[in-house]
Amino acid sequence: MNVSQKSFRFSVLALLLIAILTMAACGNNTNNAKEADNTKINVVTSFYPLYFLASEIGGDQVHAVNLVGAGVEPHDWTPKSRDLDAASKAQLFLYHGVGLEGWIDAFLKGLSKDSTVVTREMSKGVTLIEGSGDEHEHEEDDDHDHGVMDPHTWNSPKSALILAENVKNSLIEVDAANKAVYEKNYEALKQKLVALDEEYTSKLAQTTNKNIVTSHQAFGYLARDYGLKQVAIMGLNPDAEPRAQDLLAITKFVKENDVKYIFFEELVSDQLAKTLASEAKVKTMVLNPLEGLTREQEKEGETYLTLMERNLQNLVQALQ
Amino acid sequence: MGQSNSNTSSSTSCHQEVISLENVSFSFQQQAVISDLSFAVKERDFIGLIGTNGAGKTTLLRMIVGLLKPTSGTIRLFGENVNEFKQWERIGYVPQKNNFNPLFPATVHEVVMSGLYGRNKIFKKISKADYKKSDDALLAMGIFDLKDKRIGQLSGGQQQRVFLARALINNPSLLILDEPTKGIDTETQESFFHMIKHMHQHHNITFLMVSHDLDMIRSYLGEQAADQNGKLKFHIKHSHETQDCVENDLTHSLKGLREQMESRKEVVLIGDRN
Amino acid sequence: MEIVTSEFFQRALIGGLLIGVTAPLMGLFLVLRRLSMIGDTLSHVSIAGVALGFLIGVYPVAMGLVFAIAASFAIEKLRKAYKTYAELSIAIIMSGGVALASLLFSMGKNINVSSYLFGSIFTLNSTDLYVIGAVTVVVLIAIRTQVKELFLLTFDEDAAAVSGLPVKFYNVMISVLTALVISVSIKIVGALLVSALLTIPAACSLIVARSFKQSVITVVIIGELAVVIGLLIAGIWNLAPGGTIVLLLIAVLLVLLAFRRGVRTGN
Repeated sequence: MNVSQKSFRFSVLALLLIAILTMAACGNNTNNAKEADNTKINVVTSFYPLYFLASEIGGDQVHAVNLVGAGVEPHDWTPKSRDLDAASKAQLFLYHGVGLEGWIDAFLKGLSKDSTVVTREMSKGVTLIEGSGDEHEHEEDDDHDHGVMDPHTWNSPKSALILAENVKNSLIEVDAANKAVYEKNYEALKQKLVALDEEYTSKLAQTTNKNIVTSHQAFGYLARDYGLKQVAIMGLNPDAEPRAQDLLAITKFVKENDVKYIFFEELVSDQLAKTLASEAKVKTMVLNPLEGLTREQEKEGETYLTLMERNLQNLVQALQ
Repeated sequence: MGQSNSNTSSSTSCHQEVISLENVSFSFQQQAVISDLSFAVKERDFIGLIGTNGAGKTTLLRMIVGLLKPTSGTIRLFGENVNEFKQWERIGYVPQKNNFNPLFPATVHEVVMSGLYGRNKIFKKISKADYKKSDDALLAMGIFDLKDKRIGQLSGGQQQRVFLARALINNPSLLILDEPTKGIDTETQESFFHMIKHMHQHHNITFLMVSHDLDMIRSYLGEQAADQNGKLKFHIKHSHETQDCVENDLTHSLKGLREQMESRKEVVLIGDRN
Repeated sequence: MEIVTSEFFQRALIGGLLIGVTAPLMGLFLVLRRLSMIGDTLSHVSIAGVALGFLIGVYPVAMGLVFAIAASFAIEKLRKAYKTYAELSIAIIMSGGVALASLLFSMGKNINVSSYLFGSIFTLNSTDLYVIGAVTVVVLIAIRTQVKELFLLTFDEDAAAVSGLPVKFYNVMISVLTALVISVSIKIVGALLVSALLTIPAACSLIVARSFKQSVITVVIIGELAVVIGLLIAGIWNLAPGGTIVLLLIAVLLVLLAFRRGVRTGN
């Protein structure tokens, strides 16, 4: 009895120790990244594409911090008190809007009272499209995540151009002294984005098939701007239970329209896309909705631009 | 009870020690429930145990059958330390009236058969002989025709017979009964005790029984408690006081028990049939 | 009806049929031992294991199993510490599991949380089916050979101990088998609904069965019927399959309750 009690005590202590170490390790991870830098303009962004734009345009003048960390689905993310703190201490807080950040209202209210942070919505100026897809009725519980409009603007280079301009204007607003630097950086980025847009336009125009089947209805703007038709496996929210008739309908669509690849996104499990692909006897391929980077992508130095390039390659291959 | 131990130790060799306790104590949350108890139960003894609530009756029985470990002291069953004891089929145990859910889906037959499923029987299939044993136990207890009833539908007295039948199915040498007649009407209690007495007189079984029924204990085991430990009182009917070693009409088979009981049907059937 | 010929539906049917046998069987023993809440608890802890599996790149179901087994031992430990308030241990472990799961999910990547909370039977792959099949074989062999002992233990634990049954061994066996069944069922009905598949068939059998043997047969029949009919209904009318199966089980229970009442007043 004594022995088992001792071993029980030992295992409890060991478990606690492991738990504390894990938490400490995770805590540290995000801590460093979100620390404010007093020598620069601190910009907090809600998700990756804005972070990318802010760091490109801000250059050395700006210390950009992204709230939704590497590898996390923005739909599943909730702000923690440290995030509020980081945003309160910053000079500029950029968010996308159109309901992408379901938590934004509470977050803005939660910013500390004496904070001087300027908050700006970046999607202003993008011509929005209706959120619900043609095939699939809107799920009731979608509404708390997204508005009625489709928030996934950044997947089209055309809207990325508008986002970039908004970011530049916001930076100038809080740091007019460095206006020239921001304008210069913006011009450089704009050229890259325009080149990307032209490449999308020309290459996608040559494809024979125009139907893309995706696991998450995140490519509405891309489809609109480049003449494609998006069929999403699920509605707008990646978190709904798959139903048989939906699967069957998409399988049919895939077969009838000679679709060769089913796209899945990296931040959500691929099991659904795989199920469909094996049902319809086609292959799966990644189409990154660019809501965030995984840790590996971060390490390999991938950016919005390189991933958009990869998306285009995959699209072209799938639509041949 | 150590002091009186001397008068039982002079028994003849056939009166083997079935249960023996040496300086057994038990305490729960620093409170002594049983302290320094020693006594021996010999073959074919009938021990009646009485005591107020909290005297430690059930605790004592649970220690004897190995469900509780004594704080100190040694308990032996058939000469072997209870911790190493393996021949559990020699012991029939009827716990205090089971508070099983009346909805529990089990027939009388299934419950009685479960008495056979102890250690050493893992992977053993149920044989025809096993069914026969169950029938014998049911017949001996006069509940054969309740065999396919759900246990929860039976009256308290009938249920108690089911548990006794389960305890008897292995043809045990020692029966340990914890308040077998608790919550049963007087008439049924009487018939139950008749049955127990009969089994004791004509069958080779040693009894250890906790009861709150003083009349029965006194009338069968004597007015005076033979011994006392704290609030526990022991009424004892020693086998060597009434019986010789060689006993001709003494049986030790389930079938024998059944035949005896059937021949005395009036005892078995009094009272508790509805 | 073309749904029936599609591969994903057939895989769902096979997985469902396998779980439809094992979950109700294990559930019967849990319910009869008044431990029905354990199913809920283990499934929530199992979810934490699934999350950890994704995080460190181990087959999530296996990680879920490890967590479920650990939790079942923790419950036993706590049960002993709080003897008279045994249900406390269940509540504590359950909230611990949910807390750990939410922590791990928030750190995680690539996890479709809802597919483990609400199930995702139409996306079973062949690995899942092999694992479920293996678990089913283990559970069926264990129950087939040990049903007598399990009955004795379930009916009267004290008597089981006195008749020499290694009670501890059997308690561990029930815990491990339950953990096995729960961790593989999660993908089918989801963590939130696993306990329904464990407990409702057993609840039905308490109404219908007149013997232990009958109750074993009843839970299996009800489990299988609910899975097959539930999948067909969900398939044809495009409903969420996990939820449909569970609601169907509850409907069966209500019908049986009503029927029993009818019989009683009729008498």
